[in-house]
Amino acid sequence: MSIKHAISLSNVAFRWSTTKAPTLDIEKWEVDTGQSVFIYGRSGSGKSTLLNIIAGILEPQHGIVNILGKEINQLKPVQRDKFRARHMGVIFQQFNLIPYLSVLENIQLSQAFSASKNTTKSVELLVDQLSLPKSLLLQKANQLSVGQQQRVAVARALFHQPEIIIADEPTSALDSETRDEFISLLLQQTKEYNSTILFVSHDKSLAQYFDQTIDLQQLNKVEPFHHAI
Amino acid sequence: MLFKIALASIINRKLTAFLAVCSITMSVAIVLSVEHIRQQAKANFASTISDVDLIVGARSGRINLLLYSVFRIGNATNNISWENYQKITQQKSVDWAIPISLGDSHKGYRVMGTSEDYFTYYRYRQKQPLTFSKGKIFNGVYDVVLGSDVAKKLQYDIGQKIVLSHGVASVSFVHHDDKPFTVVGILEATGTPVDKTVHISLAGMEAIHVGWTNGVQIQGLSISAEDALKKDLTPKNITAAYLGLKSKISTFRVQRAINEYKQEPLMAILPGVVISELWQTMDVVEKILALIAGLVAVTSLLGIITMMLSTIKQRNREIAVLRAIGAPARFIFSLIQLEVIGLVLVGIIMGIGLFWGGILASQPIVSELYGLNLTTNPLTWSTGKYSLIMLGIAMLFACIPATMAYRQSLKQGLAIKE
Repeated sequence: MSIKHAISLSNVAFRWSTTKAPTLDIEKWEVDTGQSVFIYGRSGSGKSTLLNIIAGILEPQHGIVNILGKEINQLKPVQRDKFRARHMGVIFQQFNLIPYLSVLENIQLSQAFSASKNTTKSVELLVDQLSLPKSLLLQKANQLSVGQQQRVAVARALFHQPEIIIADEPTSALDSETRDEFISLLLQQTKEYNSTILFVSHDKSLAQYFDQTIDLQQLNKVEPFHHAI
Repeated sequence: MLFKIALASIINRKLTAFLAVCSITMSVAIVLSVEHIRQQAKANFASTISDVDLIVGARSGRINLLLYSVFRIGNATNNISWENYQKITQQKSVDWAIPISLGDSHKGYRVMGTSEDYFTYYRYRQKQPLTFSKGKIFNGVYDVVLGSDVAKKLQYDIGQKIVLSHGVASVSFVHHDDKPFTVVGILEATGTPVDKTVHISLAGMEAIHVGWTNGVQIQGLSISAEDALKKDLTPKNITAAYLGLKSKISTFRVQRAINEYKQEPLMAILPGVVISELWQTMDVVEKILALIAGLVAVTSLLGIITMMLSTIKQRNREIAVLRAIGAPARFIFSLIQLEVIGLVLVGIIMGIGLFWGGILASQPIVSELYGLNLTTNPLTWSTGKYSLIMLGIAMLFACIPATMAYRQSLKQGLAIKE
């Protein structure tokens, strides 16, 4: 079964507290399944809030958040956590890994929470495709270089084959050379799984790699700088 | 998974974790030791005397009578006349009687005049009789039997001549040096005041005081040891007496009869009852000890919690990662709880080990120095009880950092705030 829209938001509004001005107000936004979307937004444009809402960590006060055909804002927090574990992979700017666990353990961690067993690909193959040496697997995550860590993060995010990848400025800690290599690796892998990817960055030059570009300041009806962060 | 992460996290911070475990180990060992020593002291205290149904003495305080007749502390205010002692012991409900005559000393150790019955009927701990490590019961007037401590400290052996001193001060100026005694027996250690006692016969006690009136030697009236033997050495007075009754049921009746004795103001006490009364006077000390041990335990637990709290701030990235890959917020809570429980458990186990080892190692020393016999199997149900209480408090305290991490994980979401 294929769902047309991997992500569909309608009339979503979020404010941190009732006394504060809203941070996010999106009338309608849809992302097709399998699309790679570049989300451009300066700091303070509400991108953290948007990602947290899609990931199911924050609950908007209004509207419908439909992910893969499921209205996740109707779910209980624990169910949303499970949904995120099973259907999403998250990559941060930096510090994606639990420093005191080995690379292998870090990659297997996401599988433990998703409780999925449908991995067709072995960790070794995945690591190989991300051009990481296999000897890395048993090393502690904090012994790796930043570039290696980010690629391990991709492996971790992809290992349980999630339908949606959320990447929050994953390249900002990388230099320009490793950055281009990283993005192509990431997109190549997500294509293979037909995953939808949301890639957030303030660096507009990266937009060329993606199917679609969204400017969060246009999407979000809340004027920037009216809210904190 | 939870266990694996918690373990890896603790191993990652091995030094702080190790120090935290050490403080728990120490505090558990302290709590258990204090409790153990308290129990053992109480048991030892109560087992000083056994099988004696009544102690009879001149009418004074109950505790005072117990202290001088059993623990050799303090002095009698008055005596019992030998005549009345005879009358009391001849009652048909009395099975046996041990007369006690106090008032002299040897190098700070109290001298006790008594009869052969003392060695037959005296019992301590669980009805254990006195046994000799060397020699035998006194036979002659100038024979003496030493408690094990006296023999050990003063390095006396059988055949040693000793001189008794008048009065019980550790430094006495009046010595019975005209009538030396000979050591004929040394008792086995008992862990009771018997070990610190010099035993002579009542006749011996009488002999050294021939020619004395009201505790003072009459000037110019010195009677030699040989001449003293020719006199009537039946005592005129004794200090106290232990009574054993034929039937326990008659205890209160005999006690009342003695308390209401017309010819002389006497009193009788039940040693077990007065010993527990005396122990209760030490209640405050006991409570203070327990309080200090408890405070040490709480302090060490607070130490662990402080350590956890300070790491929570450093661990916000880790928490964000766990949340991102789908860990529920309560997983974060459990992780912190589990780490604390793990550390405290290891600390408790090591603490019990340290405590046990300590007891085993110190047992011979404590036994020798203080006559306090510690059992070598100190693991009782109270060990488990204190361990569980400690663990419970730890879990309660751990809620602070765990809740903090939980809240943080909800608030910060996927963003990593530096």
